[in-house]
Amino acid sequence: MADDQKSSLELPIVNGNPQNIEELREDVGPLVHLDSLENLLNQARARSLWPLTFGLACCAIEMMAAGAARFDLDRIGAGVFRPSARQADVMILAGTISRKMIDPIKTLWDQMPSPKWAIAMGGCTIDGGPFKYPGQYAIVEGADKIVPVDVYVPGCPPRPEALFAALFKLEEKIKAGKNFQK
Amino acid sequence: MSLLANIDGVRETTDIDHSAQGFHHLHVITLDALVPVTQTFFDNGFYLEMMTCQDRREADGIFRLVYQFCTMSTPQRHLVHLDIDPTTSAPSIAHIFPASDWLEREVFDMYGVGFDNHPDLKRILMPEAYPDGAHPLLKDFVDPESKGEADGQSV
Repeated sequence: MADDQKSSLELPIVNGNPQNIEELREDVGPLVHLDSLENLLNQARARSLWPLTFGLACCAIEMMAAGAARFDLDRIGAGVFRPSARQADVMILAGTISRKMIDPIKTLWDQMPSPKWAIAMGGCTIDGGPFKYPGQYAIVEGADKIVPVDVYVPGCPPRPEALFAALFKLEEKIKAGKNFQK
Repeated sequence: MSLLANIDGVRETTDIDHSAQGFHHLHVITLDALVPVTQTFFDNGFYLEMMTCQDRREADGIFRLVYQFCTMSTPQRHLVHLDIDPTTSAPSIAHIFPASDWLEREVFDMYGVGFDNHPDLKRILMPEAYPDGAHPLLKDFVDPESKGEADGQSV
């Protein structure tokens, strides 16, 4: 074996510090490539987003309209509303979140298997919307105070097309994987 | 209107212009008269349409409980005002009109007014873990769970 081939198999020492893992990665890359599999899985995940059957208030009516025949979420593989959180991929927070609903929402979110995503639909889930005022006692001012939200949909309520746009956005995010740029 | 004429504690009965106010009669009653008045309405085929409360502590030093009885057979609506001292509780009428069970729970939740002989007096709208003594519709209410964030908004 030639000397130059032999040396290429050894881990290079970057800046004289072999502990610097990040720089090592940049130099030689991962030894085993799982990215292809992960990308494939992400393509599948993005095209079969199963939402949880879960409506909090009036935005849920628009969510139902999006799922029904006129708009038909099934066209993009997101129309399979699951009755169990164990089978769901995406939680569409559709409507005002009252403080009494905090615990049930947390429970449902914890019951969903990873990878999982959340869409905040409507003004109430973005920051409290029309029910937000100093000293209010009834609602949660923003779904992101309870669960990590991936996509926000403004509107009161948003039209079904807006929910579609949110799902497309979420698809982009999932397909981009760890290369996702905000 | 002679419906409540024989009941002690019905202090005042006035006729109201229904087309202007939406009610035919207003009765101002005392604490002792609530159960007999309610029973009379029940016996005469009325139903409990609505019940609520007003926080009038600042102006008059009272809570005003407002009951609304209605019947369809001879269309008429009766408004009943019961003024109570903020330190006392009112008698429950849930044994006569079961519908008042949740209405009284709501008044208790929002105003802190107690009801004697209520089957299950606990909060109904606010979380059960909400701090005792915090009743959101009182005029001097301050949310005890407010974090007082920099933008002046509560959680």
